[in-house]
Amino acid sequence: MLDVRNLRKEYGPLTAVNNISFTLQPGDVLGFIGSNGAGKTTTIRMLATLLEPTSGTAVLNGVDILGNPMLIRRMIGYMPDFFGLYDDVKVWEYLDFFATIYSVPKKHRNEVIENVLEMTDLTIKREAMVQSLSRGMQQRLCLARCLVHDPSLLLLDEPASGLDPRARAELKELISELGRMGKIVIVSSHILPELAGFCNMVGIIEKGQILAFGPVDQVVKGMQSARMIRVRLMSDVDAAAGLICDHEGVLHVERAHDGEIRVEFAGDAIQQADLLEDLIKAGHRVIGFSEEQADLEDVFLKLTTGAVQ
Amino acid sequence: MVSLKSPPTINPIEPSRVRELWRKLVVENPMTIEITRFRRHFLEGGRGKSVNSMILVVAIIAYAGLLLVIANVSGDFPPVGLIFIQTGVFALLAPAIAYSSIAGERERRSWDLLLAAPITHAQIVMGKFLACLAGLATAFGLFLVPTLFTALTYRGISSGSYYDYVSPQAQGALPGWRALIEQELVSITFGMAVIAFTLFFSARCRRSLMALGVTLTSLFLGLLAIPSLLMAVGENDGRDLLLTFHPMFAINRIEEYQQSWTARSFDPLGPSWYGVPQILLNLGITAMFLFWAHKTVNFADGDKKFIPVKPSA
Repeated sequence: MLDVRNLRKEYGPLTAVNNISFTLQPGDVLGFIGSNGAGKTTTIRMLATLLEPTSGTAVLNGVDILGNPMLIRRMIGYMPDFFGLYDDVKVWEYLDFFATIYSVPKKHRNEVIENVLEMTDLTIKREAMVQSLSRGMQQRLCLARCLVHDPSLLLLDEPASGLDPRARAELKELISELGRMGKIVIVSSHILPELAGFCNMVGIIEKGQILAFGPVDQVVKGMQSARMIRVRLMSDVDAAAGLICDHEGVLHVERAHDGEIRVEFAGDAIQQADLLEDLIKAGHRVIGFSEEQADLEDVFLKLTTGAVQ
Repeated sequence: MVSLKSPPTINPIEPSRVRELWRKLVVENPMTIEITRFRRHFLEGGRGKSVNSMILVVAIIAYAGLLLVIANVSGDFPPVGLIFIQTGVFALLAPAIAYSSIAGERERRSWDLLLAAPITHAQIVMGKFLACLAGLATAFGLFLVPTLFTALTYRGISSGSYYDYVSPQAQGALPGWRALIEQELVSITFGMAVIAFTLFFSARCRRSLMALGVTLTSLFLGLLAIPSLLMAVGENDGRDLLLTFHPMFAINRIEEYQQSWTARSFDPLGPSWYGVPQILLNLGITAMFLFWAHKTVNFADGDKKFIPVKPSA
């Protein structure tokens, strides 16, 4: 379990991270969302023991990051937002180097390297020089490096930046798999579609403060004060708009240029069904009636102002 | 009531602790991968390494030329001449192989990965040092062949081999081979000190080239500019003392002693007076800068600057 307690980082007058707290359980994949300069990387670097917090701390599986950073380093896999690879070594040498650093016993080292290469689909590149790998492969090698010591917590800072769509999809699948393996994964990003689909938790950060945190569904629902319903009709759009306006639960009606009616609706599901029934009873020929699903991007845009420090 | 304090206990370093330190820093230091990287970087050509390959070719041609010259002047060339050249080469080679050791990790942005891994700063610095030392050892090995050849063939003083020669006045003094070994040790430990010195600046500077520039400037000042000024000042004890710590000066004084019966007669300490303090000084400088480098590497990329900014009032 990861327990982040009032973590704070100041650089002189600038507060990069302002007393953030959250808890994650094994298997949680947290999407850490924020604009550039919001404090994501600083938070991750503090958790990776690279930066000393000004105050507050974090506890991973009962070990304090400030109290025993060396032990924490054995429990985390940190992947920064850049590759930072040695290009003059072979793939297996690079992994062997980190396996040695993480005290993987010599007799198990080959097996571990084979396993992580297989997991990241790099087995065929075992003897290749790191510099000869494509960007996507180098990214996967970075992830393989994070896995050689079977960490409890993975800190992935902008892991998919600069990857092509295929490599991005493969990386998503890999991260999902790590979550299923029971690891805590924190993935920071400002590209929201990147996170959708494989994160079960989300944290939105701006100006060093967490604005929303929790399971993705709850955060999205919690931000929806009203639903948006799109209605498409064969004809007589004005009359239908008038009828909708007078209906219970309707807050606002807007006619789009394409003939679609957008309804801001605060009623419940029954009232929503009644609205459709009333339109049909009134003789309107409805060809579309759908609820617009809010997503992380909507939530993010609603919550944040885009301000950086 | 007077309480008697027990005398302070001295805790000598236990042999097991020394062995443990040796195991961690040398035998099982993961950073010894640096030796492989060094070999690939400097001694192997290939894609993207055209500059290194060119330097390697130039070095091979220069070395072959040196061997030819030595063979050509066989018997007339003093071995100390080669040790001077070797020391000069070390003064340039050591910064060339060490300048990017740590600053290069920052530029490549692999530094954070090391700092976030369970490896001590001492292991990192020692691993880098050992890799550079491997480079220095290679250069030393290349110089050793012609040095031994000239030592065995030089006829500068007597009709026989120079290093078989011991004058009657030199009873109890050091034979020539020992002087040669001392000169070599001065040269090698000087190279080690320059590596440690360069590693220190590499640890402190954000950019490799800045580390190289600072190192070369310091070496230029310490080995050429300041000694030249001191020489211009004229003779005095302080100047001589300072020059005693100059590696070239020390090597030269050992040689002068070796060749001078008078010096042997009046100086009971022999060449050790000019060799041993210099060797110890070089080892001390090496240890000091390695320790300093290990103390200074803990700032992560972007965390601190070379010159800390004073907090505003």
